This record gives sequence, C-alpha cells and structure tokens, in this order.
Amino acid sequence: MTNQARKWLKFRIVTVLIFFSILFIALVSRAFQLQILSRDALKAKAEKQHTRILKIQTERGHIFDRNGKVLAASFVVDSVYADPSQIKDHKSVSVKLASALGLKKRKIIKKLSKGKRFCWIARKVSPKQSQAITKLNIDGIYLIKEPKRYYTNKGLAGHLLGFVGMDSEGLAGLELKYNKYLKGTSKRVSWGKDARGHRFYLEDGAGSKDIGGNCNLILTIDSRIQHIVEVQLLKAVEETGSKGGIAVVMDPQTGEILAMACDPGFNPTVFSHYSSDMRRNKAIADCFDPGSIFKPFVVAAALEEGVVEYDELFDCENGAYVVGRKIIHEAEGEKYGLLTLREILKHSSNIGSAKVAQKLGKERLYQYVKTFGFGTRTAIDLPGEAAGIMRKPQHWTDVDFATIAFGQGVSVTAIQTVTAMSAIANQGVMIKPHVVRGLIDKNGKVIKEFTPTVVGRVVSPLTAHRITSFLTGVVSDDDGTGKNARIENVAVAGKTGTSQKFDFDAGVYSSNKVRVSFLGFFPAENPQMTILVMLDEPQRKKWGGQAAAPVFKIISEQILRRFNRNVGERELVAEESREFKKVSSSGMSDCRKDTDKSVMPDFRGMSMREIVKIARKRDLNLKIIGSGWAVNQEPIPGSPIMDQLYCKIVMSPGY
Amino acid sequence: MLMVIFLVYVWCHINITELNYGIAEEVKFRNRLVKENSELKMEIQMLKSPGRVEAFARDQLGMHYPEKDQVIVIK
Repeated sequence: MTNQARKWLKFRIVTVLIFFSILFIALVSRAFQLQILSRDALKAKAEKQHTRILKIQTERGHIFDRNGKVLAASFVVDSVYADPSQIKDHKSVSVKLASALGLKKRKIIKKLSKGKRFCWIARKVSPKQSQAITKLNIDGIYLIKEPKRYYTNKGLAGHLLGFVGMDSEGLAGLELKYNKYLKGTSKRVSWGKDARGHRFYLEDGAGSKDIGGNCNLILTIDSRIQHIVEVQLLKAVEETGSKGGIAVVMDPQTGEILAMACDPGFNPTVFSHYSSDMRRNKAIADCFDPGSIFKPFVVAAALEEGVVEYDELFDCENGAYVVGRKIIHEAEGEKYGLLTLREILKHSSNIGSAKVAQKLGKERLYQYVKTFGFGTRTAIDLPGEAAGIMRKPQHWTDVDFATIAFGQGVSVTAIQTVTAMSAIANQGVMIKPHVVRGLIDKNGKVIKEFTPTVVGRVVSPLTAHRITSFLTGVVSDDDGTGKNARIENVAVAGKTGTSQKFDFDAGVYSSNKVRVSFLGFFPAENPQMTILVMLDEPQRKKWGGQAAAPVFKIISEQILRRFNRNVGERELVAEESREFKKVSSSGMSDCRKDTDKSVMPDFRGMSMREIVKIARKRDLNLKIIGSGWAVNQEPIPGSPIMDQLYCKIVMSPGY
Repeated sequence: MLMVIFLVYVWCHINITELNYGIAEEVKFRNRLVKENSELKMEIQMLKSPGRVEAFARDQLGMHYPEKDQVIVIK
C-alpha cells in the first residue's frame, strides 16, 4: 500500500467516524430532549390520546317515606339522538326508527332534515326500544344515557312530591323545594382506550371520581296513612258529588305531616297530562272561608283573655240576632236560648260565637287570630304556600266582626287550620308543620336532620285543655254536630264546619255552593293526630257533620286499626337490603314519650312544672335559669346520662 | 441472558394489558348488574305499592274493608 493510499484510507475512516459521531450525538441529544426535557408534555399528550374521560350525570336522589319506602327514584335510561350530517338516506332511516320507537315517520324526517349536527329523536326511551336501536346499528344514530324519574306509587302524594322536567330539574313540590340537594352532580370516569377504541383498565387514576354527591330525602309522610287518606277522600268526593277535597294528617306534638292529600290527584310521572289547576297543592295554596271550624279559636281567645267565664251563659236570641242592618241566623234555622261556651261549640251556634267575639273586642280577636297563625304563612317546607287573608280590624264593619267570629269573611289555608288546631292539641304550644325529616347521602349518612320547631305559645295549657274538653263534647254528645266522627273507645275532639263560598259573579256568598269540613284530633287525652277533612261543593250532604265527619271517622279508625300498637310509629325502619342510619325525630314528643332513661330528655318547650315532674322521675339535678318555657338545655337532648345526673335549663317567658 | 430478561419483561407487559381488558369487561358487567339490581328493587317497590296491593286484594282475592258489625272492640 502506498503512502497516498494509506492516507486516503485514514481520511475515509476519520470521515466515517466523525459522521457517526455527529449522528450519535444528534441521536443522544434528541433522546435527551424527548426523554428528559419534554418528558412531561409528551407523557400528557400520550395519555390524552389513549385515555377517555366520560362525564356522567349521576342519578337524582331518591325520596323515601318515614318508613324507608321509596316514593320517587331515578334511573339511567337511554335517549336517542342523531347527527343528520352522517345520514345519507333520511327516508329509509326514518322508517326504521319509526317502527323501533313507535313514532311518526314524518316527524322524524322533519327533525333530520333540519341539517344540524345534533338533534333529539326520542328521549328517555324504554329498555326494549333502546335494544331495538342498538340492533339497527345505523350510522349517525346514537344512544346517550339520561336519568329518568319514577314515582313508585303512581299518584300517591303526587301534590306533595311535585315533579321534575325533562332535564331532571325539580319543577314543583318537594322536587322543587329540595332541588339543590336532590339534583345529581356530574361524575368523571377515566378509561384507557386502544387504537380500535376498545376500553381497558388504567392503573393510574382509573375508575370513577365523584365531583359531588346527591342526597336522598326522608319525609315525615307515612305512605300507608297517605294511601288510606287518599282512598277515603276520593270515595267521599265521589259519594257526595263534590268538586274536590283536601285531607291533612299531622302529628300535633312534632309538627310532622303524616299525610297530605288533594282530590283530584295527579300522577307526577306523566304530569303534563294534567292541568296546572289539578297539579296545585290545594292544601297549602288555596284559601277559603273556614266556617265553623274557626269557632274554637275564637272561644279559646276569649277564655285566654278571661273576658268570658268557663260556665257563662250566652243568650242566643232564639235564632235571630240583629247586627247593624243584618240579621244573623243559626245554621239549618235552629233556635237556641241560653247556651254555655261548651254548648255554643257543640251546637255550632253562630250567634253565640259572635257574642263571644264581641266580648273579646275587635283588636284582641285580631291579635289572637294572628297568633293562631291565620293571615301568615306557616313556613312549611313546601313551595307555593299562601298566607290567607286577614283584614286589619280597622276595616271590619260590625257585620264583618260578627261573621268573622264564625269563620266567614276570613280566608285561611288548610295547613293553617291544622296547625292552629294542633296547637290546641299540644297544650297550647304551636309547632311549625314540616314534611321532611332529614337528608341522607347515598351511603346512609345523615347530612341534615329537621327537628320540630316551636313557633310559640298560643294559649295556656289550661285554656287548651278546656277547649279540648268542649270539642270532645262536640263529638261525644248525642246532640253534638260532630257525632258522626265518634270512634269507639277513643275520645275524639273536633269541630264541624260548613262555609258558604263567595260567588264572584253575583258578589255575594252563595247559598248553594258550600265547603264542608271536619277538623279534629285524637285521642283527646294525649293527642297523636290532628286531621282535617274538607270537601268542596258537595252536591249531597251539604253539612260538615254529615259529609266530612264520617270521612274523619273512617280515616281515624283505619289508622288506629293499622297502628293499634303504637299510633305514632316513629322509627325510621331500615329498608330491606339497604342500610339506613336511623333518622329519629328527636323532637319534643319523642323525648316526652321516651322511656329510655340512659339518655337526657328534651325539656325544650316545656313548662317548669313539666320539667320538674320528669326530672324527679329520673333523679336529675336541675339548675334552672330564668322563667317561662325551656328554650335551651345542657347537656343536649339525647346525650347519654353517665354518672353525672345534672342538667342546666335556660327558660324564657317569650315562648 | 439479557434476551431472556427482555422476553420476560415483554411477556409481563402483554399479560398486564390482557388483564386490563378483562378488568374493563368485568367492571362493565358489574355496572350492568348494579343497574339491573336497582331496577328490580324499584319494581319490587312498585309491586308493593299500597294502591296495587289493595286493588289485588279487592279484585283478585275478593277482600274488602270490614263492615261496622264485623269489628268488635274489646275494652
């Protein structure tokens, strides 16, 4: 090899070496850049390509009755939508869809021909229909999951539950009131996705992630009582040829509404089939003249103020009493002479009631009527409550004053009358009515609990006791107007009512159109339930004692028969196969009836005498601050009593 | 030796991927069962609704509410 050839070889080797060295450095640099410098950005990009995040709308919370029975529940169902731009032959696709979904072909063609990239074909279809669509496998036709609301008992408590719209938004009733708690939130689910679009499990960050949670609602309603009430109300409406009716059952000691029914009823699942008038919860939204069921409140006010004596006699003017330019008569043309307060209520004397009111005076009557809650919303946890109409006493004429005394010329709601009567049943203490006991999350954990709220003391326990005794006479005496509400072995206190409806066309009270009602509670000695039954414009049996009192009796009897062991069943029973934490109504009545001596009783709302009586039974040492009614206590009610048998109670006269 | 280690590594990865597909299928199956279960529970509630039970007792079994004289209250 010549020297020149050797040099040439060396040059070539060096050139190749340099070339490969540069290449190696370039590769290493690139690898460094990709692996080290851009690592995070590229990793995120790769993950994005093979990860799929699905946003799923969670189901709306369930609504349970007090015993854990489902009243409303949501399930995910399929909705069908189309991307018209992907569909070539609109006609043939429409024919296939029409037969699978039972829709009109023309309607589907119209939807598809709009040319947008998205249109709904059918929402919330049945599982069979969704299977049919999957089998058809048409390009441009897709299924999407959406929650659908079901009401398990059809129309049961429909007015109370309300309904939801197509987008699962509560539109009425409890669905509207508690929408923010019930409404499901969206849930993120991440999945791996391969080149063919098949899903696979991702080790990192796989599965679902809850963004928030929806709550279930526990009502105070007992679906069994609700059913009894609805059936009997419907029967009574049909028998009397009434336009409609209202019935409410309330626990006077806790304010819990056990049943609330309006007739005609409606099925919330197909709410659009009913008019807005039929969907309205008339028990809270409609105002009416209460009629004679108003009299006990007038008598209670007079007794409380001490303007009348317990056994005072009132001259009922032999059935004709001149007030201003009008003559007031008794119902059914009855004529009474001297009547006691008890007899005024027993015979439902209009003149007697007017005379009691006159003794009380306009101002004081107005004050008491307001204290009983008339003319003010009860603040029940339902939307659309009316306040009723209670004019100021300055605007009352003498005739107005007399007629208001027997419940004509005031406008009240059904829930107001039940709440006011419950106050009398509850020894004069008014409790706010409520329909929701609590909120639980999907694991059964209690999120919120609604305990009874004391509105205030309306009358003294003595007055309440006297009125109860009068009202027991209305039912138990053979000549009482409410004798048709009598129940064997159970003392019932109640009052009948028949009010004339105002004829807006003629501008006077109609003599033909009436509203009949019965408002009462039982057992009189320890009231467990207050019940109102009201029938609107009955064509037959046009008196409260004839039409409404028997309905009260049947409802009460059936409730008593069914719950003969314990009328006011309290415990929230665990639903089969579902674990609920117990949501107890830790209200006054629970603790009053509570026999569990290991926990601190609830003294709130009680008088000094009641507190001392209970404390003595349990050997509790008390420290009482202030006077009047217990408003606060320490330790709190329900807390376990250890060795320290001591309780501090703060009293307030403003109760 | 290096080749053997490499092959074991690849084999492990293939296995993991296959199992991930399996898990995805099983999760899908579970979700379907959960949905079916809740639908069946709902059906039970609907079948147990007081209105339906009463209609069944009345129409199919010929039952009725007791008449006045059929109820004897023992004091």
